Amino acid sequence: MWFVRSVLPLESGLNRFLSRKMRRDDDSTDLRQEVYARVYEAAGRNGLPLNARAFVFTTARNLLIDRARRERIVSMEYVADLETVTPVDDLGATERQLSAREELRRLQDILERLPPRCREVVRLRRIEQLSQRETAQHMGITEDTVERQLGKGVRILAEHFFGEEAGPEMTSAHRLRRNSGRRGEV
Amino acid sequence: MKHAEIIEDAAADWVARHDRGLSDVEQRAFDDWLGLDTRHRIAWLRLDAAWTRADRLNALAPASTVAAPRNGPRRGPRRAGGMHALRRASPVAQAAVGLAACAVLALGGHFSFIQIWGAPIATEVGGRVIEPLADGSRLELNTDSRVRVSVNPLRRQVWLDRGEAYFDVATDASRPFVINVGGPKVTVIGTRFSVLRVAEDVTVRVTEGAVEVRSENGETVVAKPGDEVTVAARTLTLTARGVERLQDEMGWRAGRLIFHDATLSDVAAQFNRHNSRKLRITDPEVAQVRIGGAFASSNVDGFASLLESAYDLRIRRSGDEIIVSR
Repeated sequence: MWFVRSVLPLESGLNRFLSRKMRRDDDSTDLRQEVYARVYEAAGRNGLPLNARAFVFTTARNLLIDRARRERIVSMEYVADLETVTPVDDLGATERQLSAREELRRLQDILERLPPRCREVVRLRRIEQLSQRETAQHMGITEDTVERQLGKGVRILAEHFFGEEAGPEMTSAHRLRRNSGRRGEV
Repeated sequence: MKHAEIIEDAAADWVARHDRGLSDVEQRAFDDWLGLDTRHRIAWLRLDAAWTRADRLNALAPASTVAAPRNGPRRGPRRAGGMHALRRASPVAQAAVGLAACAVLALGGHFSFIQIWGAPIATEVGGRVIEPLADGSRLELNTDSRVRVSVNPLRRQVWLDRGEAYFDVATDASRPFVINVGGPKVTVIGTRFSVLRVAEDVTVRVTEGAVEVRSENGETVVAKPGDEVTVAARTLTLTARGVERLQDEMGWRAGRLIFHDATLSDVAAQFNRHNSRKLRITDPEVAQVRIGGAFASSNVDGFASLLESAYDLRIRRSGDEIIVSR
């Protein structure tokens, strides 16, 4: 569907923009949800935008402006700065579509970064194709725990898969350097 | 915990539950949760997409399997790609994966994610949802309804399982838009119309364009603006009601119920579709009282008060019911 195909791939660019422009008290998860909800509802009301990238970016910028304006003490500089920004500057080069193999490599990378129990559950479910019950038996944990770890895993998967750039294959050192510059803390 | 975190956690829980299979009760709870807030829907879509994408990892399965407990899972050599999923998944998912594999092969395998099988969209009682579709069409869902949507480069298909939907279909002659409503099928190229399903009775109302309705036994009719087609007991009936009347029937899109000289029992039935507090009419004569007007669909209390003041009826509230009598 449109949202999954055209909006989610923009998340890494959106995160870059938000992390640069949001205030200290802002919560990036909250902002992301709000941007997506607005984009989704606007598309429902007015039809799909011709340029998803520009639309998502504009929605994000306007959201930040709205929130800034509702503060008790409005920072005119902050608002003015937001108002002058344009899509071309801030969402960067067009990300290319990954090949199936590159995507697999990326998923493998992310799998390696999951916490141990989480990683094992995802591995058993997705690679070994065990059922949740079999996964629980194999790991000697309850099915409830399997569900919880799966939930945890999928959140981290999404953070990395959508939230980070799909660049060329990165070495660990390269990845560390890029991550440290981006946000205060992940 | 912050609101955003709570939503992400809930969405993650739902992904995990879908992964093992939902019970009927859970399915209803999920539909309710989805319909409550757009944030729920987008959080769900995002995490579900990530989990589905991760299925690509099955290409890494080794030739020998994990050491198994007593009644062990599979042994044997690795098979190609998505075929693994067939052994584990529920029957519906099996068919879906099979279709997905075929479609990916047919389209040259360059798409990293194609949604082939229908993704469900549902509303709770009193709910309404607007869903943009990938082809530029728009779908609006009324109270207590459920559809499944599959729009891809080859076909545009919707299954209306329950309730009522309004469609604003983007014109595309190369991909007719088909709505499966149990047995009958509705086919359009590009138009505006609504479809209502109550068990096996179907009503199609056209406000723009041409809509072909085909019943289970192959009988077809082409409805034009202002036409209402009903399918009941495999019989097609076409009535020309006029575009304005049909638009009144679609008042729910703006949160309104509009009646022209309808019986109170019909009006009550419509309110009851949209509200969990139900009107009950105890007196058969009272049920025949004629009502006209436009009402906010969620304001069943306001309507009940109106019955007292303007129609001189008695209202008694008892639990989830509003009882109307002389």
